[in-house]
Amino acid sequence: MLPLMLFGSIEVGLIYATVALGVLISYRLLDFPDMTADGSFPLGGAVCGLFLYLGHSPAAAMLWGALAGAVAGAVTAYLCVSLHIAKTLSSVIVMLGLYSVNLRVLGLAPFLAGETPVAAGAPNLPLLGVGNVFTPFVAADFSNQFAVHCAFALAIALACWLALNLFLSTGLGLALLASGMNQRMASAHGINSNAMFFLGMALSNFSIALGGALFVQTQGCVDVSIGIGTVIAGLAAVIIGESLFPTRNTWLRSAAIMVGSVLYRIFVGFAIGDGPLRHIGMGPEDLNLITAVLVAAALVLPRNLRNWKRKLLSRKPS
Amino acid sequence: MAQAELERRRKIFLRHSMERTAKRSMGLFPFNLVGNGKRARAFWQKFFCDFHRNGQPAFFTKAYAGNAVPKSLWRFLLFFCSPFQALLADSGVAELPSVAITTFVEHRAVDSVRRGIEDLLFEHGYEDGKTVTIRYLCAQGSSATAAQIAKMLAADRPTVIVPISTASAQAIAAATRTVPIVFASVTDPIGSRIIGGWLASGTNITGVSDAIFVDEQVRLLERLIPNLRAVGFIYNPGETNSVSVLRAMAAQLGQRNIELVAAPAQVPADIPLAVRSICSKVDIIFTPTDNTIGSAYESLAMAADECHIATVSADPELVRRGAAASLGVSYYDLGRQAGAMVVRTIEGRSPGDIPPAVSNCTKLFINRKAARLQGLALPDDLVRSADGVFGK
Repeated sequence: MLPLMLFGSIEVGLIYATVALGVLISYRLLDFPDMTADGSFPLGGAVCGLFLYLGHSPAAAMLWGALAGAVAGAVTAYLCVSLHIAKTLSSVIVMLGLYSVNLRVLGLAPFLAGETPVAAGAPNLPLLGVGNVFTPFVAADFSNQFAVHCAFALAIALACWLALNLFLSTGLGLALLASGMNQRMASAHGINSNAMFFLGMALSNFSIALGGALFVQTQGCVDVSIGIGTVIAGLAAVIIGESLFPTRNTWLRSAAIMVGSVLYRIFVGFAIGDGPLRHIGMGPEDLNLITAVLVAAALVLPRNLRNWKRKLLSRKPS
Repeated sequence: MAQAELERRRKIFLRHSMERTAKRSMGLFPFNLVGNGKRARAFWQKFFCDFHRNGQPAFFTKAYAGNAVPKSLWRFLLFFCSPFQALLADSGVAELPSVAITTFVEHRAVDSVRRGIEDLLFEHGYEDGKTVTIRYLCAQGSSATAAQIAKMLAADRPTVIVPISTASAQAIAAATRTVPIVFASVTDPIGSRIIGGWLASGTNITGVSDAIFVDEQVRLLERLIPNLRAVGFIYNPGETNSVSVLRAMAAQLGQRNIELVAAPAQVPADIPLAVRSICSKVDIIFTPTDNTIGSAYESLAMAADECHIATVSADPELVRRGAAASLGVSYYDLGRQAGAMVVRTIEGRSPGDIPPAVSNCTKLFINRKAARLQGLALPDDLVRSADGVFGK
């Protein structure tokens, strides 16, 4: 019973690990507070859902979803770099516009499938009974579904992690890192920092939309509301990962934030299944509070433990 | 007394005694887990093993012949299991039939449905904590949390899962094909592919839809405004339920040559703007059961009072909050209807044998004060036939 329930949290955590990697690229590597994620996550899901609904292969559907996300990221970069709109504002504008785009995309699916005569927007696209990337591996009664979902999520998260780190080890990747750290210095070294910026934003949102595409396939539907709180979930993962495993190494750092994402979901799972907490009068309405307290503890404890340890060590000689 | 009734009581008695044992071993909760004491052992036995068979955890019986378990092993278990006690404790009371109610976001209609389900269960002898465990899980607006809840419930396997609203129901249906599901207040369960039709599905899913009969609504609108030419429709385009009502309404009004003017309001702040943008073009404003509109209906009513245009809502609760009239599903009664399905499922019927239903309890409410402010003359016979009249 216990491991099965943990699997659910781990699975969602691994799906959101790809989102966290995207957030890592924009917030940390490019130093760009990117809100586009709240729109590109459901965009990836919507485009993927559209292709699945029309009966395309799941792999192609996921790729198209992720590419749509990359385009959204590039649009944000375009608004910011070429049209000189402030960083946060340009990403908020794109996020805002994507909400309507998502409604359109979701409405397009039944129209293209010939079920409705008009292509009106829709907030929800049902994917129950539509083949997805897991279908060939899942038993008819869904008994092994949790394992299949987890394995896929893990494989995709690891692939993203590997690809990102291999890319960052190349000359192009180093140029991207450099222009994120110090744009003037990078330009002085002959790096086209604007191009790097486009590339970074596209990569970041590619990864986020890929997470969205995977998420909707485990959900049985694409709902336009799935994007709410994506950035926050990603940031929580980044911050938990960085504070629990502080390191400068890019490989380890990105691995740490993936662990952070899973831990964040385990915290939420803990708050959902709060048996003992019910005994002291905590109810389902306290879910977010419990999660917040657990996250705060995860952020504060490691540092303080180190301090306490230092204090103890310094006392010893006397 | 009928054999079935005796059997049912015997089952309830058994559950009672099991639950008493479970409670005893819960004892002084965190303190009883430390050490090798009697209480600690009772607690872990309850969790690790089958207590139905011999009251001994099978895993220990093999290794230690049911006798003294080394202290180190208890400590080891305590160390590794303590972070997950929260999860374990839920499964600990699984001897009782358990009902898990889950929803995406909390609001009044969801609360009414939940109250309806709980009341009906109580009337059938299922009291929370005594003869049944009722859990309520709300994702608080986060779809990732909703996904997690769906997966955790599928793994936890309660006796029945009751998802309220469309997205919750879809997530649960995608997570399991074996745990019984009774959905509540899904407006279009066929369009959202939760069920295939209105006959018994033969799968693990049944439930109650809150679809409103659009022709009844249109008849009400026509009675309120005799020469109806145009109807305003204010809704949030991000809500499935509202969009499906809009489609049905457009088709119905199209047949009668009445114009439909839809005005979207994605956030409560847009509602007054939406009202002002259409008030000169339409005779009456209709709102579906929309969470966004419902959360700030007062602002819609105030704007309508200013423009002197009548408002009709599909949500009966909103009549108290400024709608002139409403013919809609009573969510409490919908909850009771779903509750009846839950009871049948607990008593051993498969949801696949119970045909899904549309809520059969529509009620007409009227607010005379709002009607006067909005310049609407209410026909006397309509007022007399109403289930509830507010204002003077």
